[in-house]
Amino acid sequence: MKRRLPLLVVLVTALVCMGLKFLNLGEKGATLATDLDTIVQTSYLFAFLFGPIHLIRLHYSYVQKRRPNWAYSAFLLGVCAVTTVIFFINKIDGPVSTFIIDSITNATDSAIYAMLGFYVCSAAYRSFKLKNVEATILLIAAVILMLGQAPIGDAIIPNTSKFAQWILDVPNSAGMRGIRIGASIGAFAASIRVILGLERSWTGSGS
Amino acid sequence: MDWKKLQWIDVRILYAIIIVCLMIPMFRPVGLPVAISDNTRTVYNTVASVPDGGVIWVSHDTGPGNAPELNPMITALARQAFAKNCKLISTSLFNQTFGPGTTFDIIDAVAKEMGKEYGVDWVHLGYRDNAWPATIRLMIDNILEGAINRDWKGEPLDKMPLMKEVKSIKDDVDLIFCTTVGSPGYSDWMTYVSEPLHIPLTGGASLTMYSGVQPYIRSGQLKGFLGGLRGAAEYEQLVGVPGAGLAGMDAQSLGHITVIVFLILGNVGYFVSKRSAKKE
Repeated sequence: MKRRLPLLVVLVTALVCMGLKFLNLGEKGATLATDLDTIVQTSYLFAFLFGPIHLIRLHYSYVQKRRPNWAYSAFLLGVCAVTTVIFFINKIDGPVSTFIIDSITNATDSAIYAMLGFYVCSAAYRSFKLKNVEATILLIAAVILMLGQAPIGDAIIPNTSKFAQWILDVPNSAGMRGIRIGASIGAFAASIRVILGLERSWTGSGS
Repeated sequence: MDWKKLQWIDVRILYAIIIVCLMIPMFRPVGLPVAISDNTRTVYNTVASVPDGGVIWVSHDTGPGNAPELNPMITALARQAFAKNCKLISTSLFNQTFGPGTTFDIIDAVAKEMGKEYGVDWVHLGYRDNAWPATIRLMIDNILEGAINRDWKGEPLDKMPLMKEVKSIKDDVDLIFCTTVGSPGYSDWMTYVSEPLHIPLTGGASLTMYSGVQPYIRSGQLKGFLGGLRGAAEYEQLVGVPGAGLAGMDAQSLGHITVIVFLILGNVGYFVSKRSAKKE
């Protein structure tokens, strides 16, 4: 029962949601859909409670067992504790809380993203080599798109941006459509497996 | 000269050159002309086609990393919309710590400059951390219910004159303009709102996301879409007020040229070493 109940809940919920989506159940159906959305809103908030609890338990066990790099876990727990206390005392829009959000969280986020740009440049320089036909096509397309995204491209070779847009419009769109349709069919198949109870890894009991 | 070494230039030199190239335009702007693409023109025309005084739903779904690309788009949109006396309702659903505050600051700056009043001409709903697809679906029928009758700062929405006119997305919103760096983003707005309700959807994406939106532009599900900083720069030109987008174009030009030069050098080194290996 412990294992079957979650599977039963998923099956019933999925069937009800699909029924509401694909069948016209009138006013009552619309009301039920609204109620379900409200339930989703409320239940989703619990995930924000379970998330930190799980994170703290996990890292606490790392510190307790002195796993490799446990100092990082200890630092994370310390930061969690300090931030929580500050936000409780200073409130979400207080000056110290705002400083933590604007000058630490957001600034670190920006810096990490900006550093990615340098890594991409380095990786492109090291790996974009004309080794075969496919690599050559990839490199030429990349150069055209880089030139097309900057005004200097049109200044060096007129209409580069138009050619870059053609690459995006035609070959890229064709490839993207294939990838998206394939991924969607895959997601659909995976969902059906979960609904029918064939995929049970999410229950923690393996497939 | 040992040409083979060209493919193994120290990465620190590469980083230093990129930093210098990105900084040069800050001190000596070049101001190269930016050609306007059909996509950007479509975005501009879509916003222009909203009736004067109409309602545009703006969702600035960004984080700090992509903000330099996407913020100028929102500034330009606010200018174009307020110039037509359109009303704006904004959300920011991607990043809780950055998006809502930034969105408010951007629109607020333009609104004050153009004499628009908060609550009358625009309202900011901010981030909704409770399962946003469900929230949006509730707002489709009743914005006050979906937003729990609170704006970003916790003020009651039902006291605001704009929200007395705009009750639901399905009946009162004329256009959705969203920026995209991931999910939630354009695909979610398309799935839950624009397609079922037939509300036009446009906006802008970070350059890394831009290739993904192309099929939907071609199919007409997106009414044009701005691509990265270049898209923002083009849009600023059409709106007629140059801003951060156009200012960043010189840095982007030099940055891209630097990468291309290094790609060429790397390949020259690769071919020379390949030829030497064959001779030996």
